[in-house]
Parts: sequence; C-alpha cells; structure tokens
Amino acid sequence: MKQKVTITVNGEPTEIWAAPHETLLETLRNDMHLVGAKQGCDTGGCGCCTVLIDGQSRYSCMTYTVTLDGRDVTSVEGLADNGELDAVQQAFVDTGAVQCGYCTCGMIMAAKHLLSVNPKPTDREIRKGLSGNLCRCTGYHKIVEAVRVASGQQEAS
Amino acid sequence: MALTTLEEILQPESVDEVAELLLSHGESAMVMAGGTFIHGLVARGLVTDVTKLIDLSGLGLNQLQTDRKSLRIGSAVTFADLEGSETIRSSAVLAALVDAVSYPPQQIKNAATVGGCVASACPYLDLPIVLLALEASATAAGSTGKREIPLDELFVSLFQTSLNTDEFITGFTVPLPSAGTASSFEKIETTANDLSIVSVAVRVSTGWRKSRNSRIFVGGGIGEVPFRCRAAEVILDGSKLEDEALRKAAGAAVEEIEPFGDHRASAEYRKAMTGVLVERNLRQARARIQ
Amino acid sequence: MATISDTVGTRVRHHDAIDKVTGGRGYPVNVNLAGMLHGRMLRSPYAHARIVRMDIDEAKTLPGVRAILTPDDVPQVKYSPIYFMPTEGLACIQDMTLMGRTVRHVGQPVAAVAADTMEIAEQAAQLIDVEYEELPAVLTVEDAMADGAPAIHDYTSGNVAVDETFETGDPDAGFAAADHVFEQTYETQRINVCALEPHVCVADVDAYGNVTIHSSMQHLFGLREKLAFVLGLPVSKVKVVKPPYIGGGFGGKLDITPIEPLSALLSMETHRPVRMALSRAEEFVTSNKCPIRIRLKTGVKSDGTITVREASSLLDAGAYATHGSTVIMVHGLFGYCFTYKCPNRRWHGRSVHTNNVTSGGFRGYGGPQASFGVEQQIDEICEKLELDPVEFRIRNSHSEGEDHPFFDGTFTTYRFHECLRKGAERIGWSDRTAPGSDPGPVKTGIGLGCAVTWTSNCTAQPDLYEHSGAFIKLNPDGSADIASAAIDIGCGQNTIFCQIVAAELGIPVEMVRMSSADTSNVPFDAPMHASRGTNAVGATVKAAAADAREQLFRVAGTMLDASPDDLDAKDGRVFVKGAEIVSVSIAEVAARADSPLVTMTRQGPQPDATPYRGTIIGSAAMNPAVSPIPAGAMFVQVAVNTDTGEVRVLRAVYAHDIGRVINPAGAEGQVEGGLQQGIGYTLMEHTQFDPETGACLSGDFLDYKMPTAFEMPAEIECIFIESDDPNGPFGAKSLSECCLIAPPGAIANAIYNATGARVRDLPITPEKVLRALGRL
Ligand SMILES: Cc1cc2nc3c(=O)[nH]c(=O)nc-3n(C[C@@H](O)[C@@H](O)[C@H](O)COP(=O)(O)OP(=O)(O)OC[C@H]3O[C@@H](n4cnc5c(N)ncnc54)[C@H](O)[C@@H]3O)c2cc1C
Ligand code: FES
Ligand code: FES
Repeated sequence: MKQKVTITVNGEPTEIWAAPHETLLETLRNDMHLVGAKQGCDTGGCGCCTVLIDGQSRYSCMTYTVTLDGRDVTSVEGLADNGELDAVQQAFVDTGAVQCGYCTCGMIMAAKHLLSVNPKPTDREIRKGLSGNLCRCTGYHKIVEAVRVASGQQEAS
Repeated sequence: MALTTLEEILQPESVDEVAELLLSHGESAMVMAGGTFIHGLVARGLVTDVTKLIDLSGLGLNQLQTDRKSLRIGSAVTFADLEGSETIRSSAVLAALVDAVSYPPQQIKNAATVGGCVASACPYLDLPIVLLALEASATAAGSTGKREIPLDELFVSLFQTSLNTDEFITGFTVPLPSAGTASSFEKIETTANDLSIVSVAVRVSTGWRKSRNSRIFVGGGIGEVPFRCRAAEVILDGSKLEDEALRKAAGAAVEEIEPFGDHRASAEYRKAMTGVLVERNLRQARARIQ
Repeated sequence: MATISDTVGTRVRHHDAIDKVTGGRGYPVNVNLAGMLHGRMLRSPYAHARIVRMDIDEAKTLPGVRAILTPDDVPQVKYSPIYFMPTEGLACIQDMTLMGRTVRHVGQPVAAVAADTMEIAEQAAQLIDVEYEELPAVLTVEDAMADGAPAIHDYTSGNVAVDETFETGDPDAGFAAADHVFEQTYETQRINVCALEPHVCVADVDAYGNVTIHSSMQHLFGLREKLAFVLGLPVSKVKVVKPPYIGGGFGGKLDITPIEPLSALLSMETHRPVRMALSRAEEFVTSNKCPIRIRLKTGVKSDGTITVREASSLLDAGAYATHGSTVIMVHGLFGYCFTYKCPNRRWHGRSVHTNNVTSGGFRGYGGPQASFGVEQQIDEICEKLELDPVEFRIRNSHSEGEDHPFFDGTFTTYRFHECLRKGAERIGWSDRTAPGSDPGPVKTGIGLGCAVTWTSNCTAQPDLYEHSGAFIKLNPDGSADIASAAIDIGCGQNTIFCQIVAAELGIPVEMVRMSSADTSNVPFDAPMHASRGTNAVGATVKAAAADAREQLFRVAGTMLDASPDDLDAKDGRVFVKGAEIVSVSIAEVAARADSPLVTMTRQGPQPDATPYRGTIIGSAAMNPAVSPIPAGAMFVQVAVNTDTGEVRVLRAVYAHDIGRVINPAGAEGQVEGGLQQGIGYTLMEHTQFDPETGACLSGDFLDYKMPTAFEMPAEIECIFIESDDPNGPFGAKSLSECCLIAPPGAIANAIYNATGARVRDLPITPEKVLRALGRL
C-alpha cells in the first residue's frame, strides 16, 4: 500500500506516493529521476547516496521516504544556482578531485554538511567528516584539498 | 534487499499511541527510531516478517534535560545532538558519552538515536557500555504504564532486551554524582567507520582519599551482552588510582574476560586489547577528574 | 620539462568533471529504458553441489513475474569470461557455463527472474525451490591438491588448472656460485576490487533478434565477442553501447559476468529491456583479486650481486580458471622474473581450483602479489649482508638503453635508478634508523618498495592485446570529435585523449570532445587494461588526428595558396610556417570542406577554388610500436603502535618514470588512488569466507574494510622523473598499475624498520604485528 507524503526536494514541495519500504534513494533516482545520489552498497558506509535532510547529511539508502513528510531534502542537483556551480562543486572540479566520479555527489553533500557546521575545518576534521564516504579512485587527497579550497583555506593549484 | 513484507509505516504522535499499537500488532510490529540499525538487519535477512514499522520520530522524545542530580536523555536524541550538547561536553562525568558518539560517520550521527543504539542489544555498539558504566536506567513505556529498568537488567542476549512486546524506551536517566567522578570510552576499530572489535567504557570516582564505585564494561566481540569487569573494579575501589592500580585492574580485566574469535579478530587479540583499553581509559578518566 | 603545447603536460581539468559534480548522468547504472524489467538471480548456498530438481511453479505465479530461467533454459556452452582472451585464437581455459547443473562455489547463480520491479524479482527468486545433492567441497589449495581430493572439473588432474615453468641460464650453477641463499614464503590474500559502481547492465533485444546492451565494463568489443559466443550469435547481432564513463573498473570489469547474457536471454523471452545489477554483497561472491602464495629462493654474493632467483607460486583460482590462469603467468614472468636482473632464474607457477569464489583481475594483475615478496626479501637480504637496500636495487636492476633480457627490444627510456635516488633523498633515507630502535611505544620507520611495472602493456613488445582504432572528425565550428571504443574507467582517459588530439590539431582542448560510440560504428579497441590507455590509445588517437591534420592542411593549402608541407596549426588557426600572418581559422577550413563545391550566384554557378570536398576526417587502426616500460620507487614512513599493533602510514613519496606526463593532476590522482588501494591491500582488506561452508563473511562495508580519508596519509608526494620515450604519444609511457604494485612491499618494509617485526602474509593486521613482536 502506497502512502502519500509531501517533501520539499531541492526547494520544491513535491507530493510523493511511496511504498512503505521505499527508500529516499529509490524515490530520488527512480521516481524523480534525480540520479546524483548513487547506490554503492545500500547498507550504509559507502556514502554515495548522501543527501541533506533538513540540512543534515544522511544516507538516503537507509531512510524510508514515507517518514519524511514535511521535511526538506537537498540532493546534489539542488546545489548549482542557475548553472553556476556551488563553491564545493567548483572546488572539486578545480582541484581534480573527480576521477570516476561515482563517489563525488555523495562526497560533495557530506562536505556541504561539514562546512555548514564547521566553516574552517582542519585537515583532520575534514578527513573525519568525510569518513562516511568511500572513494576507490582518488585516495581522497584531492578531495581533502577541494574542501580546503571550498572553505577558503587554500587556493586551487 | 527491501523489507517487502512491510505494509505500513505508522507515525503515532504520543507515547500511549505507540504502546497501543505495539499491543495490538504484537510481534508483527517493530518500533523504528533512526532506522540505521534496522536497515542493516533487513539487509542481512534478519528481519523477515515485520509488517508494521512504528516511527518514533514524532513523539518529541529528542530532549536533553539536566538537573543537579541527573541527566535525562530522550530516546530519540541523536548522536549529533549528544555530541553538540554543551552540558555534556563540559562534564567529566559524562565525557564517555561524547567519546562514544565521536566514532561513527556523520551520516550515522545525524540519524542514529540513543534509544536505537541501546535497544538494538548488540554488543558491537558503543553507547550501551557507556550508559552501563554511568549506571543509567532506561524508562520503558507500555500499555500498563511506565517503569524504570536499570541498564544492567536490560540486556538479555544478542538482539534481545527485557522489554515486553508492548514496551519501548522513552528515555534514559543518568545519575550525576558529585565532583570527583569522570568517565571515558575508547574502542579498537579498523577504519574510522567501523563497529568495535573491542570497546571499553569506565567511570571512576575519587572518594574521601580512596576510589570507589568504579565501573568497567567491555563490548565488542566478547559475548552476547556487555561484560562487566568486576574483579578489576574491586582492585580499583579502595586504591588511589595510582598507575600501579590501573595496571593491575587492566590485568584483572584481561583475566576475567572471555572474548571470542571471528573473522575480524582472534580471541587472544581481543583479550589483550581489553587490557590496553582498560588501562588507557582509566588513565583518561583519572586525568578528567577535576 | 617544458610543455610541448598549451594542452599536453598541463593540469587540464577533467573533461567530464562538471557533469560529474552536478549529478553524473552518464553512468551505466542510470540507463533506464521504456518498459524496462528488472532481473535478479537465485544463488547457490552450497560450495559444491549438483542440482537435482528445480521447481519454479510458485515463483511463476507471483504477480509481476515475466520470465524465469533455469539451467534448462540457457545455453550450456563452455567459455572463458575474460575479455582479452577471444574464444577463437589464444589458448584459454573454457570451463565456465552460464548456469550449469553443477555449482562450484557459494553464490553461483542457479536461476534468474525478470519482473516488473526488483523486489518482485527478488521475491520470486526466493520462491524457487531447488533440491541439491551436496558434493564434497575443497576450500584450500592444499586440500585441492591432496591425493584423492574431489575433482572440481574433469579437465584437470589434482585440480591444477595451470602448471607452468620458466627457466633461464643455469639456476643450479647460480646456487653453487652464491655465498648466501635466502628462502622465504610470502602470502597474499583475496581482496575485492570494490569499484563503487557495481556491475550493472541493460539488455534490449529487438524484433529481429539483435541484442543491444549497456553495461559497466572495461571493454566494448570483449563484451560483444563473449556475449555473442555464449548466446550462439554472430557478433553482428550484438551491439554494445559505450557508456560516457563508468564508476571505476580497476580490472574488475574485464570479464563477462552472468548478468549480461542472463539479461539478454530474459529480454529475448519477454521482448522488453531487462536491467540487472549486482548488489554489493553479490560483488564479493563474483570475483576477487587472486590470492597467491610465493616461495622465493635467492642466491646472492656477499657483495650484493644476485646469482640466482628461484620462485614457486601457488594461486587459488577458485571455482573457474578465468583470470587465475592468466594472472599466474603475468605474476610469474612480468611480476617476478623480469623485475631484477639475474641470468639464472627458475619459476614454477600453478593455478589451482578450489570451491572458493572465482579469482579475478585487479590492478597490477599479479604484480602486487609478486612485489610483496620480492621487495621484502631484498630488504631481508640487505639486512643480513649489511647492504643498503637502495644501492642493492640499483646494482641488480636494468638501466636505460640496455637490451631486454628475454625479448627483442631495449629499455628505450628507463630512469629507475633516478627514481630510487630521488625518492630516497625526499623521504630522508640517509637518516633512517636501525630496525626497532625508536624507543616509544609508537614507533616510526621508513620502507621502500619498487614497482617496475611489467604488465602486458609494459613488455617492450608491440602488442599483447593492446591495439586500437579511432576516428577524428572536424566540425565547421573548428571543434573535433573523437570516436573510439576506449572507455573512460575513471582515470581521466577521455581528458588525456582530448589533450593529445588538441595538441596534434592545434586547437584548444575545450574544442575536442569524446563522442558516443558503439561496437557497430567504431573500430576495435583492446580493453582499458594493463595501464595501456595513455600509451596505446593515446598513440592511436594521435595518429588519427595526424591523419585529419593532413587533410586539414590540404584544404587549407588551397585557401592560403600554399603547399600543405609549409603549413602548421596553433590556437585554432592554420598558418604558413615562417609567415604566421598568412593564416586561416580551422573553423573556416572545416566549414569550407563541409560546404558545396559549387554555389549558385546571380552570375550563375560559381565553383570554389578549393577542389577537395567532404568532411575532414582522420582515422587510425594500429598497434603501439613498442610498449615502453615505466618504473617507480615508493618510500613510505609508518607509525606502529606496539601496544595495539595498529599501523598508520604517515607519509608517502613516490618517484616515477612514466615518460612524459600528459596531465600532472591526473597522474597524481593515479598515485594517490593507488595508495588507498595499496594501504587497504596491505593493512586491512580481506574478502573472507567461512572455512567450513565457503560462505562469504565480508559481504558489506561493515565487514570489508577499506581505508577512508581518515586512514590516508596527509602527505603524499608524487615525483615524476620525466623521460621522452620515442614509443609513446608525446613521449608518454604508462602509470596506473605501478601505483598498486609498490605499496605492499614498501609498507611491510617500513613496519619492519619501525619495529623489527617482519610479517610475510597479507593483510598485515594489528594482530599479526603483535604476534610478530612476540606480544601476543
Ligand atoms: C555505517 C554504519 C556505522 C555505524 N557505526 C557505529 C558506531 O561507530 N558505533 C555504534 O555504536 N553504532 C554504529 N552503528 C550502528 C547504529 O546503527 C546504531 O548504533 C544506532 O544507534 C541505532 O539507532 P537507530 O536510531 O538508527 O535505531 P533503529 O535502527 O531505528 O533501531 C534499532 C533497534 O532498536 C529498536 N528501537 C529503536 N528505538 C527504540 C526504542 N525507543 N525503544 C525500544 N526499541 C527501540 C528497533 O526496533 C530496532 O530493533 C553504525 C551503523 C552503520 C550503518
Ligand atoms: S548506498 Fe547508501 S551508504 Fe552506500
Ligand atoms: S572518484 Fe571514483 S570512487 Fe571516488
């Protein structure tokens, strides 16, 4: 039996009918065609599915959609403003932090949360703050650099 | 794997409503807080016939309250809430709480709740041993009313608590002893996102000249429920928490614990690490006593 | 070294980075066709069993189920799944069936369902009732090779799939000449590729029986060939669509998995597109890096000259031969025999069947397994003989200009010794202290491991499955499109190819794009494997661009009234050499070529002065002249906590000769990413199976641990000692695999330097460190 909820997705209130076992990741990808959040494991831990719920980073693969009535969801598609990249997105491009890119959108959302609560994180805080997101390509080196750049602590090389 | 048996997620707005739902649906219903542990259980095929999930997020149980004698933690308080609380951060007694919730990745901190962590009754999780060391009790609400369950009476076996089927936890009460008490938690993990291989939580108090009422609990791969190191506590109580006493207590803990070996670590390693962690935690707690 | 043009040698941003930071729509995981069904598999719970009976009646009646396949419904042809082992041609072991009636490992698929949703398909799969007759299973190579062990396949004796030896010189004389002989065993474990995009495909069969397939894979033409073979179709009936990019490959997507043929068969049955994807748990029971035990016996003179090298390697291939049979060869010959000089060598390699999950390919392809032993043993030798490990390696390795020890060909460029010296200087090698001399409970130490990447693209040979083809087309706005079957698996290949083409044509890199392609409209290209992308595909796109440029100059010559030989191009303009002012934009030239020869004017038809018409296109289909050999030396500093055994890598310095660096940021990314895999491989990663049942114990990221950002060193220094190799595009050689070959030995040696504890089996867990220290 599907249940109806209204969720604000990237600023737009959206009426969604979802089966009770449907996760936010499935809703975003399959119903709303917002494919920025990716499935990398479905059990929490890889972070590819990270989105913001009321501004807080969450694994969308382990969040049931019908529990989100009245909540505010931001996916990576909601960051760029009229085609202009958000500072974190831009920093990922500029520092070469994107390789295969499969982890990228989740990583960016995790970084968004981190910078919203800690605008000038130390390297250690960045690494800890991103520890819920795996990357198999970059060794995280340029990702950490991207977060430093986005927080204005370093120029892009 | 999806929980395809699920027919509905119910969203009650009061504690009584939850108790009623639990009573009427029995075993086919399950309460859900952050859902982070439930999801893992589902993925491993450990939840199969649940048809109703009862969402606890609308009950207003996400409050932290302190008076001079105790701290009340609502069951829906998240790890992030705990970590962000100034009251807790500035308290030596409660320091182990902050230690524990500093481990998981941020996405888990933002969702996982204290109630869910304790009620999971899983020895690999971190807060149960901290709350045990702090002599906390859980408040259970059910169709016949409320009751206080001391935490050491809550854990029965793996995934099994002493809650009745119509009961759930609304919050925890942590006593705040007078000055001279501090706690500490640390765990051995492989990466910054890992369940504990072994974990230890301690609380020590310096009484009049001598230490008293020490608590040492071990979690991780050590059995179905958290383990209390009573022999080690006895060594500490009456000591002056001097280095020698801490070392001896750690040695006693190693003697009394009987961990198991699995694909993540051998029993001997867990045993040895219990000693290392007990000593480290005792030193840390001692240093925290004002 | 100065950059040759504005594009080659500069930190050009990745071609598709903006796309990827805004949502990344191009992954195969996003392919969603109208009417698409979802497929799931049922898997065997037994390590070895025969299927006696299968009952699908209940599953069939579940609403939304569209088709069910059992072993009776699928072709029983035997095949090897490896893309670079064409069924016709090279000898390869064909022992796999899509869904046979015998299962040989836990997790082997036995049935497949297509349904309206993934959940229904999963539910239906669980409703299939299978009766198995359990057969005795063997889960270790020892058990598999023991007398009387149950035979896993009928083509082997003693379950040995491959048994090869290789000998040069006179090893016995080498031992006689040695002052010292060292003999140790080193062991490596199974790890999982863990590309973050799991295997996924969508197959769509049309009314004529043509199969179109989208898939996350590293080889377009390999999938075409294998899929056609398994389905019994001519290759022309199979079209493989190239994804704009995939979510990581690392060698894990170099073979056909059951999902591609199963989804095609389900699509044939249902006349609808069918999508199948592996869950993360399924990835762990599909393929893992080959575990190898290697016994090394080395004879050395007291002055540090190696007199003989002998090795014997035992590989656990798992249920099917596949990559196990090729990894063992690459491991033995390229990974072990060729790296250090010595006239006398003997190697014996065996790849053995067990009822474990099949072993597969992973970055380095046998090289990391070899170097873990070789690099450690060198340090063990040096300690005993009181020699410096850097000098020892220099004394016993090849230098630039030398002849290849086994093949025709030379080390055209080879700055290995410089890599060693430069790396040693940067890490502070001369300040290295004696093993275990750091007093604190947390001890630091420095270690060295080398990677002389001798994988298939790095043999000084022209073509061990490295050839490729490409088209270049010039557009009237002065831009160029590349059409090629080469897939960007995440290393920035597309960016590099665009840089190379831009440099060759004299246009800005933003004006070059990788166009879409499928197997019906682009030439053959070997897999994106063996570190070949930049070198082999790069050379081909460069040749295709040169071809286009020739035609560009022919047309421009008529416009500038100059001979094509006198022309050159830069910044989007063709100009007369020595008289740059005489020029025309490439856009104008391309537009001219695309426009009609004759234009109608009021004065009647006016023929154009340029006689050549038709779009300017260039093409090339070729093999690399010679695959040049890269080399690298890695130094790491570690801290070991001797109370807990925990190891942290504090700092890494990686000096590398990869020829000319086309894109420094991309090259650094390879090194940094290789280090994440290297630290994981060395310290924690391990796909584990129950020793009794063969069931997977590490099927998710809670049980399978790989480094997060927190476990990575803050300092990673990449030093590129550039050389200008005559056999690479703009002098470029290759890189990727080196980055995973060096870390295991380097980290193990550093742990020894810190603590005096030697651990010879991977992963070096805290527990093993404590045991080696005698503290457990
Ligand atoms: C990637 C990852 C990393 C993790 N890392 C850590 C870590 O470092 N440390 C750690 O301790 N844990 C960790 N965890 C486990 C984490 O899920 C739990 O600790 C978490 O606290 C569970 O809380 P929840 O609110 O999500 O519970 P839920 O999943 O909602 O519930 C868990 C169980 O408790 C029951 N329950 C929930 N609330 C109540 C209640 N009020 N009364 C009665 N029963 C209730 C549910 O029915 C269920 O059985 C991790 C999990 C993941 C996926
Ligand atoms: S898909 Fe959600 S954490 Fe991996
Ligand atoms: S860029 Fe490939 S996983 Fe991070």
